[in-house]
Amino acid sequence: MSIREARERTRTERGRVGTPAVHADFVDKVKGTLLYAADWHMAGMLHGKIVRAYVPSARILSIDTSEANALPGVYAVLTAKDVPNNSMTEEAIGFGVSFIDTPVLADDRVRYEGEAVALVAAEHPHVAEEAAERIIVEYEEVPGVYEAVEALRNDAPRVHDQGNVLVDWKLQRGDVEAALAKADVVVEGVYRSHAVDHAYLETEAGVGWVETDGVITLRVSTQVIEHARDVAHILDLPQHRIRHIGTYMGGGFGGKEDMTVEPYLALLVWKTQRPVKMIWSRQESILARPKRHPMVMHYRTGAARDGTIVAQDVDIVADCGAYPYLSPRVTFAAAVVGGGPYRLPNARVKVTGVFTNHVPNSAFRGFGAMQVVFGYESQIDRLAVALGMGQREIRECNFLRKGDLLPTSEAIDSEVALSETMNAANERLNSGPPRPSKPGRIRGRGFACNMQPYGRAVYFQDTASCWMSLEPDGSLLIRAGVTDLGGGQAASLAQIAGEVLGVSLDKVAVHIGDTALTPFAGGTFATRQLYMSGNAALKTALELREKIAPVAADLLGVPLDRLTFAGNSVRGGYNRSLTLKDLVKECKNRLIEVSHLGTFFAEGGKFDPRKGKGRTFPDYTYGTHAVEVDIDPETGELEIIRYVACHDVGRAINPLRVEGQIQGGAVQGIGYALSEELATDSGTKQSTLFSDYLIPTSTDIPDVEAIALEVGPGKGPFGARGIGEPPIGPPAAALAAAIEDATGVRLMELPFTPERVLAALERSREEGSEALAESRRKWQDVPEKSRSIASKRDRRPEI
Amino acid sequence: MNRMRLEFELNGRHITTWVLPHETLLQVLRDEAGATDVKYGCGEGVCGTCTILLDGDPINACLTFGVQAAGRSITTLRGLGGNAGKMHPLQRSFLDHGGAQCGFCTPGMLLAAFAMSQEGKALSREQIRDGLSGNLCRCTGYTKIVDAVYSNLVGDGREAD
Amino acid sequence: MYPSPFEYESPSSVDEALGLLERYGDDAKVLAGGQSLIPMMNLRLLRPRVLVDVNALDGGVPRVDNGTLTIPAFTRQRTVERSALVQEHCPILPDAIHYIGNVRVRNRGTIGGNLAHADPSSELSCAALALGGYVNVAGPKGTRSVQLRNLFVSYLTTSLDPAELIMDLSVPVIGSDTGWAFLEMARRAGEFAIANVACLMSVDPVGGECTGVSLVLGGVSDTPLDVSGQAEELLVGRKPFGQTFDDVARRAQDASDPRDDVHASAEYRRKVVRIYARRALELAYRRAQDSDGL
Repeated sequence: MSIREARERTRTERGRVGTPAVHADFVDKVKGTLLYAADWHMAGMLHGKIVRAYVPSARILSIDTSEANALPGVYAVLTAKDVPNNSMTEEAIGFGVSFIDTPVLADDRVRYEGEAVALVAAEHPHVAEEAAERIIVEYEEVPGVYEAVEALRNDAPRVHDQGNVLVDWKLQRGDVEAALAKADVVVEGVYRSHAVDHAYLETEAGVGWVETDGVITLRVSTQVIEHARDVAHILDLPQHRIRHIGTYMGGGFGGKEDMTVEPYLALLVWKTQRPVKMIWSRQESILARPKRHPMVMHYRTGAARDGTIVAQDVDIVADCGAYPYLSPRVTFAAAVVGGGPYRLPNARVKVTGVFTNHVPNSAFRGFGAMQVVFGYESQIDRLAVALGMGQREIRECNFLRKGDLLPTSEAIDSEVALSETMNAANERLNSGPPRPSKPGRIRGRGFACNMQPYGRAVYFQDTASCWMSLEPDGSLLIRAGVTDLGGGQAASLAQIAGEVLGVSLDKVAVHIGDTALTPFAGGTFATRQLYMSGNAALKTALELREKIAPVAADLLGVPLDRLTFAGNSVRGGYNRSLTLKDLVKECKNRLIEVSHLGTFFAEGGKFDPRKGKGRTFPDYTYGTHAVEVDIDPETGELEIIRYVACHDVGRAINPLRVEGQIQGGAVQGIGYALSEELATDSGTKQSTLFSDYLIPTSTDIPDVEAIALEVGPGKGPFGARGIGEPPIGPPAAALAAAIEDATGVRLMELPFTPERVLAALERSREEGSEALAESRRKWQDVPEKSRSIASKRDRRPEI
Repeated sequence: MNRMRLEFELNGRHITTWVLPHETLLQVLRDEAGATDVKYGCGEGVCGTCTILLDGDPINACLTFGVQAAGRSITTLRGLGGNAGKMHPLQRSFLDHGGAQCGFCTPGMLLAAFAMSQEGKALSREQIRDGLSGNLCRCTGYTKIVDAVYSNLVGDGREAD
Repeated sequence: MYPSPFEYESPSSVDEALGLLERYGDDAKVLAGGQSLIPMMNLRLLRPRVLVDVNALDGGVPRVDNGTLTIPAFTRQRTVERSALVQEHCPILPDAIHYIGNVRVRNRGTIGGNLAHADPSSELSCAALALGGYVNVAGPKGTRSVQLRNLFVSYLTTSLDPAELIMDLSVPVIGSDTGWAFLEMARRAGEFAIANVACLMSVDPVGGECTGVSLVLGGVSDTPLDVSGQAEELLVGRKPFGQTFDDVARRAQDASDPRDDVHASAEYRRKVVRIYARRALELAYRRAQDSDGL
């Protein structure tokens, strides 16, 4: 190959699938030119502000808006009575036990601190603030319930008249009790997780206006533009009278999956017929946005002496907060994978979603499937200790394999590369020069594995569409209703289409997220967009190529199977090529369409909630994180020395973005495990400041060493597996294992604050050598080097 | 309440506007001067999305009043590469290393990195982490941001791992 | 997110500033760096009617005279953090200041503003108090000196009159026989301290006995807590060893009176302050010996 050819090849191949292409959105972002939701400005724009309840559980006796209305510059003051349909109920898909309306504005009852009570629009944000403060709401506090387990008691205060149980999932396979009775070892534990905030740096924001044809148009930071239909319901307007445009988001993580500003903006636009902007403050965002479900997870796991798990019983109580939101689905995901990525001949999983007077909990990266990792990985760690087995050894003999059954009795139908991720992560952690601890610190290592579904549950019969058109100059237009969280949801479509049609990335434009103009793609959540829109883009591109390929074959005088689409040209062998521009021209001459709308239909299936059996998620992504920590035994402070995160991604469409997803997810999981907590006191939030809600900074964590394996082909385009959510799963469990390795004590409650770690150490000192001896046993299958670290620790004098 | 005349320099251009005393510099820059590359993130001085350079030093635009910018020179991300829309080498480095995901922290992050680079010293990854510790990122986990800054400050690319 | 309206004054001289403060009394707040004031205004927790912006006042630069380091109150924290003069004569101050917020906060925050805010976990207050510093204060009745131990009254409260303005901070320079340490534990980089500790210790270069010690604890009471007396009692005139440091640290723990908050319980803060006090004593002692030996 000549140098010129090589150069040409490098140039044209850049941007193809599997290369770390620089996506167009990156360029706008590093230049600071991208217009996020709050950056939109319109002439005559008003500013909206929500009045929120400052009590967690109360009856509203009266609302006096007269002073606010009298304030100069105020254009609208709305309360519940002004909302045509005061309900934003999520379709529960028939599985919800209770059917509960979620009011847009609280009417007679407040069920959580921060619930929206009234709404103001004014000509200036300062005036809106003033007006909001002048709305006088008279409350009569009523007893609330603030613990999910307590809410299950018969005498607990009722959050809703229908009762406190929102949903109750039961999955069962085999006879768990009989198997546990016969097991050689049974390990039992109760694990507690906590409420955390998404803390995306862009708070909820948007601008709404009335378009010239009377359509209420909202340009908002949302994962789901299809909420336009919910807004239509609230305003009692036909669905085609509402248009949503999704902006590139400054992070979402599930927190922009439910509606945020949309119903409020729409109400104010509808009422004032003026453009309105609404931005939630950081403190408002922490106060009032749905959080991650805290769960109390009761596990019983039985195994035979050889390490084979014979049964697992999982009983989870999830705090759903005051309204349903997506809790039925989140708790469902927790149930399906609550048993972990292990073969369970007998399994029972019960997940009860309970109302409390907390801010509602809903979607958050990991979606119920992440909390349970702490439970099932802690159980298998402890099982290994009880059996005197190695941590890798016990997992190796229990890992799920293709064809194995989940507690839903459905078979895993794609490759499971758990061993590969476990070995790769641990080998990386054991590689490289040793990093000695600072004096006085104690070292520990641990790892954890996980499985995370990608794609919506199959019974939703998910679809996504995509439209592509080759322009006369040979460039490519893509329209897709996807929304972009910053994970490359839009740009990866360009990479996929470019791969098929041979168009270089600089000649592809992707137009996304507009209910008026882009074909339906469904929201960006459930790690579904690569699977859904990625497949839709692949299918559309292939179908478009089928339309135009015969013309190219004819012009080049070669059979169809000789054609390659690359470098903005079609080649038909040596010296026979044609630019896409010329091909498009010829297609037009021959009246051949150069645009195409394609739709991908995800695999369907049925699930019977009464029997707890059937098909659930299309596929899963598996991974292992391994971590090395140093602990200050006097204060409980923990420093992460090394962190390795490995997932089998099937095929990395863009390795740079895949690594970024893995690193970011791991750090979000580390924050969840160590420092983040939405602390509450009787329903009143204690950490609504960004100086109190502690997401990790650059000095709190080391580099995350990301390993993206391409082992088991998944169901996404080119065999890719979703990677948006999976990396947030393992950190908490891996850190729990590392803390146990260092201290001899297993923490059962999140987050692992220095205070909790110190308390564990103090306990371990009291319990003395017993715990240390126990933890020593589990090190037998670890390489010599790390074993010596463990034994060095064991020789440490008592502190 | 009377508006006050305010003159300052933004990315090399002279700006004259009228502001109320209680309008923060963040509001003035975004709403009056069109500098939407300066972001609101918390209003507490914690997150760093509103980072700007005031006479070369990084500060919180949310914790300064607009009137306090009188006669001062302000640089935002859009001014880093000069006014011709060119990119500063640090911006290129962020592109090459995937130092942005959602992009919301990126303007503040780049300005913080730029201010560090102005010291003219070669920095270790730990020093870079310390220098960026006041700029929160929720997407990247920081590794690729540190990669981008490190390779730019050191100039010899990434270390092989 | 949007502060309440206020009247804005930007005096060009100290006298003018004092006149404004006297005129408005409790209605006015001094705007120095604003890094604690403006967050509270953004959250609408504070709504001063008048802000007197002292940023136009020029106080000069840090200087050393006769063994005293004087830092004008309007000096930015970042300036002190990077000052070669301060680093040479009083290295504990840059070390403590580095823990304040983040670089943006330190680029705006001033020395006087930090002291006047009287946050019990203030790193600067803790270190300056350990140094035995004082402030010069200008007011309607002229200028007076206030020892830092008399400045901090309780949580966010000083002994100053609303019409008074801190003009500068003076601290003795650290002698060659003196070691120092500033240690802080926070849940996250730049956040408010769970506890911080400032310690200075001088050691007889010949005999190795401790000749003087000061120990101040931050974040564990409603003001920075000076436990130098307890430390002196156990250490001065003696050759300290590990057990003595631990005894002093226990006394420090006994003297502390922290509150519970979302970041840590009072009980945990008391445990931490003991460990950090002991480590600060050890480090200061080591540095005192090293500076002597080198």
